[in-house]
Amino acid sequence: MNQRFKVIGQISAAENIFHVLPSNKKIGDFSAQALKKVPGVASCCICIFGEPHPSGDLLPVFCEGCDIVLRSLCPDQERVCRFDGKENYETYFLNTAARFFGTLILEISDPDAFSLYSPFVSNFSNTITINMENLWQKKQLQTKNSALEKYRHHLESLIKERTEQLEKSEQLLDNTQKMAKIGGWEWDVDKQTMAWTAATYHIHGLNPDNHEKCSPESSLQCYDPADQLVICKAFKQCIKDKTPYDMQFCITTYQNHRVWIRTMGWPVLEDGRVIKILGNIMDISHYKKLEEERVALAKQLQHALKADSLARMAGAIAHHYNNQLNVVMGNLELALEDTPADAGFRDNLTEAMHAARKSAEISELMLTYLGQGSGETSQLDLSKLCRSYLPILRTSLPKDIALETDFMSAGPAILTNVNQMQIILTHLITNAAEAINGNTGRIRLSVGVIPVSDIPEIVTAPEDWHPEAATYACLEVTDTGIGINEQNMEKLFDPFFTTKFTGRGMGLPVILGLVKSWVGAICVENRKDRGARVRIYLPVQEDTIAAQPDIKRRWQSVEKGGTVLLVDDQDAVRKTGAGMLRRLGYSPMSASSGLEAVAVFREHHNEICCVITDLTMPDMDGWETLAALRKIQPDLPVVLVSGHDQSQAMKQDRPEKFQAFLHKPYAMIQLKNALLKALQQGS
Amino acid sequence: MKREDDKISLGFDNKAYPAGTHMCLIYNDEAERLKIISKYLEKGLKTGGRVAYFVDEITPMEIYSWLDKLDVAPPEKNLYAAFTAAEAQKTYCPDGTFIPDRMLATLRDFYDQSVNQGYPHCRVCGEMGWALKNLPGSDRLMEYESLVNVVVTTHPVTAVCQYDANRFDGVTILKCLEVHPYMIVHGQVVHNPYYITPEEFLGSAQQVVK
Repeated sequence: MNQRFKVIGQISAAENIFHVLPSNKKIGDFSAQALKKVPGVASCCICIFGEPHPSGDLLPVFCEGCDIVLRSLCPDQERVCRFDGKENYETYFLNTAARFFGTLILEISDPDAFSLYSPFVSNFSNTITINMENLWQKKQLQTKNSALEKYRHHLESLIKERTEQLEKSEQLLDNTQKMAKIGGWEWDVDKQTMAWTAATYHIHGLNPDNHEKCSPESSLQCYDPADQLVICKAFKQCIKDKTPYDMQFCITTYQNHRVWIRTMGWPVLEDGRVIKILGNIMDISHYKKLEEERVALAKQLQHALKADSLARMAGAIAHHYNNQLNVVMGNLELALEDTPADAGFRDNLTEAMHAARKSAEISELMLTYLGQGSGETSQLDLSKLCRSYLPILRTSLPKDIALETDFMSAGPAILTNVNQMQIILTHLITNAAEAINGNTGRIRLSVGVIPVSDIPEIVTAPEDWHPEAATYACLEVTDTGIGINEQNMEKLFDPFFTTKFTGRGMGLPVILGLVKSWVGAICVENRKDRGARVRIYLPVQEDTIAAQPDIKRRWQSVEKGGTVLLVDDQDAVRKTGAGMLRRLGYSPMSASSGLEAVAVFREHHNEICCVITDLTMPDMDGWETLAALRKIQPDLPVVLVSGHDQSQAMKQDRPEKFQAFLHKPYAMIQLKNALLKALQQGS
Repeated sequence: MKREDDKISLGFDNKAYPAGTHMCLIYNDEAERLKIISKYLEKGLKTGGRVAYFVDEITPMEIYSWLDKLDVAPPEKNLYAAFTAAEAQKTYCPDGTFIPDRMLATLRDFYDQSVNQGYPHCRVCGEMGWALKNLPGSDRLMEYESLVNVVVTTHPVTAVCQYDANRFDGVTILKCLEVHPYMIVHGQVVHNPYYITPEEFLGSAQQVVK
């Protein structure tokens, strides 16, 4: 009895183990081993038909017990087991309605003993089948789950990939925004909440972790008071009127930096109502700087074009205008000489002569402005020069204006021209006095020396000036006048620009022209308290100062008659010149070109004592004519004539030298002096 | 030290069992295994006993981490002293060969040391996967398992032997049932009707363990 219970218990225990066995084969092996313990059983095996395949089919496997292949459970195929119905064998088909798993085969040695356990074995075989079916179902489920799992993994990896892409995009956007200095923001109208991107924090000079600062108020604090009103108005209008805005401001960040920003906001509508404001904030400081540089460059270009245009105009003045003026003035002079003192039209001629001289002066000023002013330079003591000119300056000032001075006891030495420096002083003091405009005031004139490092980086004019000397003389004029209107500051050095009804507008342009020709610069500025300050910087000369020239020095009148060959391509100029020469006691010969001059000179070289030749002529210019004539007579005295000033005419280094230079338009006395100088040097 | 007739709790069910109970856990569900074993270890430590765990599936460090998560490994040194985690292969086959008598002696020593150190009880738990590595002598595993039942009568070490149904074949699993008087089924300790006494088991035909 105990034995029977034990066997039944074993069978029951074995059934309890099935749930942990992971495969049909293991269940089969385990079951066969367990059933061998059943009394009356000689041996036992289980032909496992097949392992459930993921496709759901049962695949045939080799049966160790019957040495035959069990075929799949298909309607057209017969299940085959050679032990089925065989004596001493008990076979149990392990199948459900849907599937066939195999056959349990018992070899019975004692049928009587086995009969006690037969129902339990039969039940056991059912339990085997149920567990196999469970496994099959489980594997089917696993297969489905596996597919689902695979799909889930696919989705998860897709989500992960998209998330990474998004994160990368966000990172890229963040980096791009950082690099481009563009921040984004969003205002939720209903919730009254704001969101900023990291770049928005950076632009405001805030740490992106400082979320407390993410508010319109925090942003507003960075704006200048006047701008706060403007941006507030635009923001409110955007909500109220649904109008976007796009504005530029200069803000002060929380790091106390001044930053130019462009801020834009546009409404987001839902059912016709503004629910959000989306916006950008862009740091445009760099663009502003570039824009300023572009404007400055455009300005420089404009100035360069203007200078080029003026230079061409100067060329025209020098060549055409002065030539014509030379004829006008020469003929007027000749006519005046021939006119009796009591002649009624003498006043008319005098007026015409006066106007012609004024025109010549303006022409001269124009050339001076362009740095082509006539006048030889020498090293002079600036303090001494200013001091010597003080009496004249004081005389020109109204009584209510005090002229204060601060000169050095001696020096500095500068390369300048006395007369031109006097022109500068006159213009500066006159301008200062006019700025005081009839009121009581002070003008201060001072001379000093400063190192180059003390010169402002940006001078008023010339704009392209670069200091080259180590030390500079500083001539400074300050006044207590009304100062200079900012709008006029840019035009100060434009020719003919004046704020005075009677002015010619050539004062500062002429000063600039002279200073330019002396390689100096000018700074004009309004003083902080009142009035203006003009500073002229001129390079200090290291050499010793030459003796001041005698202003009254004139060429000694060495009367010397003779034949003079006058060379000019313009008939009127030749005609006027010839008339003036005759009046001076010379016998004029004339030639209209260099070639003709050479021919005339070859024929009359024994008679001609001096040649006056124009510089600018077609075919052979003045220099070539000079060289050709000198080949015939090396010591020939020559006067060179030009509408340009002497330094300009001498720019080209020529081996042949002339004895005197005559600037057009010239008066008879200037012609006389030039001839005398040439003849004197020639002799 | 409790004697064989003393009852101890295994932790994973509500019953009390005699010290020196020798049982097998045949499993194919890792989560269920961990649940049973962790409670078994936890109970042993929390009741002041000495515990040894022979790892094969996991590393000793994982066992310590496991205990940390169970909140049964507070920083007291004595608790760590009460717990030993060792690699099963090095424990069963210290020189690469499995010799049942040597392991049985180790088991006895473990018990004696525990007594000497004043532990009220001691328990071991082993993952038996090492037996599938074809190490010399590993075919004598069932002989050893059977003899453990003799040892625990004098040295009542409570023991749980874990067999992974996924790795051991069906024949071995039935053999396993023949040498463990108790088995853990569905988280319960049950008498094993297949159990055969050592005398009967060892007196029968040669046992072959794959």
